[in-house]
Amino acid sequence: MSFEMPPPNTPEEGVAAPTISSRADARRIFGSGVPSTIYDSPASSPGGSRRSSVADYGPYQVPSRGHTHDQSEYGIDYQALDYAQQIDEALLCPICHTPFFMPMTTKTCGHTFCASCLDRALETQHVCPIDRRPLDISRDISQTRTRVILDQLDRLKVKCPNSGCDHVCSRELLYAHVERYCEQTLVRCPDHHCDEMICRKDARPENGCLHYVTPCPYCEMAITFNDLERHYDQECTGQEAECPHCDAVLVRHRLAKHIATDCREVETHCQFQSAGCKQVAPRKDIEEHLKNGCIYEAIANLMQAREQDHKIINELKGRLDALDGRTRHLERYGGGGAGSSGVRESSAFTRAAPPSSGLTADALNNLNRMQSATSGDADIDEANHNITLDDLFETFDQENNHHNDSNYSSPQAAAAAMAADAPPAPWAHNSGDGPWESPEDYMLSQFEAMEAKIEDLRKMMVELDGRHTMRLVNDTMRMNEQIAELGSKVGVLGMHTTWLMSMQRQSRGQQNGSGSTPGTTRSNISASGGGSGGTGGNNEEGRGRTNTAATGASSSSRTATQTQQGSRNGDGESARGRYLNTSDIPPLRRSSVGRGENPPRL
Amino acid sequence: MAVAQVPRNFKLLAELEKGEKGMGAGASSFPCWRCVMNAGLTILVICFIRYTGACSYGLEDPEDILMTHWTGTIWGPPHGNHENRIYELKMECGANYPKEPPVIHFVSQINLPGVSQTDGRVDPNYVGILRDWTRISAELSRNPRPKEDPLSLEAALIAIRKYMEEHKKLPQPPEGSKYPMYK
Amino acid sequence: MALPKRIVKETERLMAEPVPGISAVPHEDNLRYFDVEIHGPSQSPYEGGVFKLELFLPDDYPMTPPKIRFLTKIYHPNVDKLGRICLDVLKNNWSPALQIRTILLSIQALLGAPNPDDPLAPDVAKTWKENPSVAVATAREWTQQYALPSQ
Repeated sequence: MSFEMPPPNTPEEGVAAPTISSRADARRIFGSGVPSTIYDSPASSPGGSRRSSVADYGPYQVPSRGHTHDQSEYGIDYQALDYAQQIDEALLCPICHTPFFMPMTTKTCGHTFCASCLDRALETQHVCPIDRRPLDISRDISQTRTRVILDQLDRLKVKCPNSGCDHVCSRELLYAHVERYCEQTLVRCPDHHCDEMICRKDARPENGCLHYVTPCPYCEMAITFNDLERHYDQECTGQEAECPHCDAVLVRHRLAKHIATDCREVETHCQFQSAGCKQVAPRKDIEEHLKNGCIYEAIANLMQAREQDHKIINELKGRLDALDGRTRHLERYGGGGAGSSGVRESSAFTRAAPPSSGLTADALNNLNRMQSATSGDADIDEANHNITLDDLFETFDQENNHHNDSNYSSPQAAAAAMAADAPPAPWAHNSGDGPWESPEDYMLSQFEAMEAKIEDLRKMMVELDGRHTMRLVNDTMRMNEQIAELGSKVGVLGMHTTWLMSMQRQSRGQQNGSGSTPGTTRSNISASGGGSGGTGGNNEEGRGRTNTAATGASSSSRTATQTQQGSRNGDGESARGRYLNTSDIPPLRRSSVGRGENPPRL
Repeated sequence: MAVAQVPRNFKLLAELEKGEKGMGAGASSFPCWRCVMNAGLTILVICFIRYTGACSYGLEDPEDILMTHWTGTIWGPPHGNHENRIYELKMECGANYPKEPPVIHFVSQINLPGVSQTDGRVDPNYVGILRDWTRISAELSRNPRPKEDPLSLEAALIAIRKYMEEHKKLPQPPEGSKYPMYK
Repeated sequence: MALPKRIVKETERLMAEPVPGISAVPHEDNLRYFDVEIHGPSQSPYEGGVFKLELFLPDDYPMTPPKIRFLTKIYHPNVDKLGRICLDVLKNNWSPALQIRTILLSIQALLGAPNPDDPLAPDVAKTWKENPSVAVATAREWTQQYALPSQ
C-alpha cells in the first residue's frame, strides 16, 4: 500500500478513473452514519475528501419500508443480486443492467438510473449517460417517485445473497431477511473480545467464540474452527478419499454427501420411483433417462396434482366444518323464528372468522335451489313475483357490502366459489371426528341451516317488494301531480279560447249584424266550455284528456290545416260536422278546430 | 474485492503511454532513442531525462504490435562515476509478462556486478525487483491492488538505477562505448 | 473473482445473439478479456478481411470505456501502428450506457467510414486526404495481405 508510483494502467486522458469502490460508494450515498464494519474492502477509502454526489441533494426518501438508510451495513450489493424471475427490460438500469435500486430520474430528459450508477457516471462527465444532455447534479436530478415503478421493483423476487441460503423473497423484504433472519448472515462473534465475524447460525452464546485454532482432522493444518467447512471444500488435501464409484478424490468428510447427491457413477433410482419407475442406473445414465423423458413422469405429475387436489379438498372440508359448526351455533342460539337477528349474528361471525366466504356462497347456493325447487311455497312465490334472480343477487351484494365483508363483487364470482365450496360428501370424511354421527344428522342440520336461510331470504324479498312498491307509489304520485297540473293548464287555455271566441262573436255581431255560421259556432263554444269547466277536480278525466292531447298533437295541427283549406274552399261545414259527430272529441282539438275556422275572417 | 487482471498487451500499452507522456512526446509513435542520439540531440535528451526523472523507455520498433522489444535509458546517478552518463538498455517482455520479469541487457558498457561483460545482460538475482518479480506477481494475482502496480518496466529501470547508485564508485569503461554485439 | 452482473449479462448476450459480422469471445482465464473478430464492411476497402482485435474491460467498466485495439495490421487513418483506435466513444464521449456490442459496431462503422480529419496515423490520413484512390488501394492491399480469413 505504500508504493508511491502511479499505476501504469491509468486510463486514457480525459477519462478520469473513479477512485472509489462500489462499496464505499454505496456507503457514501446511502448513509453517512454507517459504522465502519468489516465489510469494507481494504481499497475502499482512498481519501477523506467527500465529493458531492447525486444523493447528497436531499436525503433519499425511503420509498418503502424495506429501504433503510444503512442498507450497506449488511453488505447487500443490490447490483449483484440474483433474481428469481424474468425481469422486464424497462426496469433495468442502462448502466448496471440490473433492476433499478433507488432510482433517480433526470428532469431534463426523463431517463432513469440507479442512484449509485448515476453518481459514478457523473463523476467523469456531467451529462446524461444516454443522450449526453448536460446535467446539473443539484438541479436536474430527482428521485423517481412513480409508485408503479417503485412497487414493481419492490416486488421483484430475489434470492438471498448469502451463500448457503436458498431464501427467495420480494426485494423490499430482503434487507429484513438478511438483517434479522438469514442464518448465513455474518454477525459479530458472541465473544466480546473477538472482533471476527461469524455466521448467525453459529453465533450462539453457548458455542462461545469459534475463532480458536484447531488442527484439521485430515491434514493437520491449523485452522480456525469456523473456517473448517471452507477449508474442507477448498484447501484440505490430507486424508483424501477416493470415491468408490467414480474417480473423484475428495476429503473424507465430504464423501457421504458426494455419493448421496453428486457422484455420477453411483447407482441410483429414477426420481419417479414413487410413481412406479423401476429404472436403476448410474446417476449419469439416470440423467440421460430423465432427459429422454421418463414415461412415469406423466404419472408422477398426475399424482402430484392429485396430492394438491387432496390438500385443497381437505382445506375446503375444514372450512365447511367450521361453517357448519357456526350454523349449528346459530340454530341453537339464534332460534328459527328470529331469522333476521340470526343473520345479523352470523354476519358478525363471518366478519370475525377468516373463511368468511362460506356463508355467502352457501346462502346463494340455497337461493338458487330454492328458486327452482320451492316454487310451491306460496309466500316465496308471492315475493318472487316481480323480482328476477339478478335483483336478488344485487340485493344480496348490497347487503354484504353493508356489512363490509363482501368477498364476491359479482354473482358470477360467488357462483364460482359456490361450485368450489361444495365438497362431494363432507360427512363421509367427517364420520370419525366430525360433529355428526350419521349422514341423517348431517342432512338434518343442513336442512335446518337452509330453512333459516330461506326464512332470511323471504324476509329480504318482502323488504325488497316493499321498497319497490314505495318507489312505484312515489313515482306515480309525481306523475299524477304533473298530470293534474297539465289538466288545469288545458282548462285555462280552453277558458281563454272561449273568451276570445265570444269576444269575436260579439264584435262580429256588432259589425255585420248576422254571421254566416253563428249557430254552429255557438254550439261549438258551449261544448268546449263544458269540457274545460270539468278539468278542475277529476284526476281521472284529466289524465284521459292529456293522453289524447298528446297523441292528437300532430293530428290536431294536421286537421287545423285541413280545416283551413276547407273553410277557404267554402265547405268548412262538412269538416266541422265530422268532428262534431265523433263521440269523444277532446276539448283541445275542438278548440283548435274552432280556431282553424277563424283566420279567414281575421 | 475482485479486481480485473489486466492482460499483458493492455498493461504494456499503458506502460508505453506512460513512457510517452513522461517524455513529453504526445505523438503516438515513440521516436527510437538511437535515432535521437544520432541526430545529435544529446543536450535535449539530457534535459528530457532531467525533467522526467532518471529513466525513460519506449518501444524499439514502433510497429511492434506484440510490444516485445523495448529500449530504455538511465541517466546515471549523480556523485559518482555514472554522473552525466546516459546508459542505454534493451528490454524484452515475453509472452508471460508481467508474470515473468522482462529480460534486461545493457547496451552501453558498464562495470557492475551482476551485469555480464559479454552481452550486458542483467542478472535478475542482483536486482531486488527482478529477483522477486515472480513472487510479487503471484501475490498480486491473489491479492490485486488496483490502484498501484509495483511491477513495470519503469520500476525495473528505477531499481537498476538505484543498484547502480550503490556501486557508483566502480571504475567505468569510456563513455559511449557499447557491447560488441550491439555495435 | 466475482464478475459484475453487467459484464456477465453482456457476455451472455454477445454469445446468444451475436452481432452480424462481429464475434467476441472471452478468455477462459480472464473473463474481462475478449478476442474479437470484425469482418470488414462491404463496399469498403476492408471488405473480405477478418480483423482480429483484443478488448479488455477495466475495473471501472462501465464507468470507463473498454480498452480495445487491433491485432491485425490495418491501413486506416484512425488506427495507429500498434492497433490503437481513435474513436470518440472510446475516449471522451464514452457513456456508461454504451456496451461492448455498441462499441464494436462503432468500430465496424469506422472501418466503413474512415475519418482522416481526426487522424491517429498522420501519414495514412495525409495520403487518404490527398490521394484517396491510392489510400484505398493500399488499404485493400493490406487487407489482402494481413486480414484474410484463412490466416
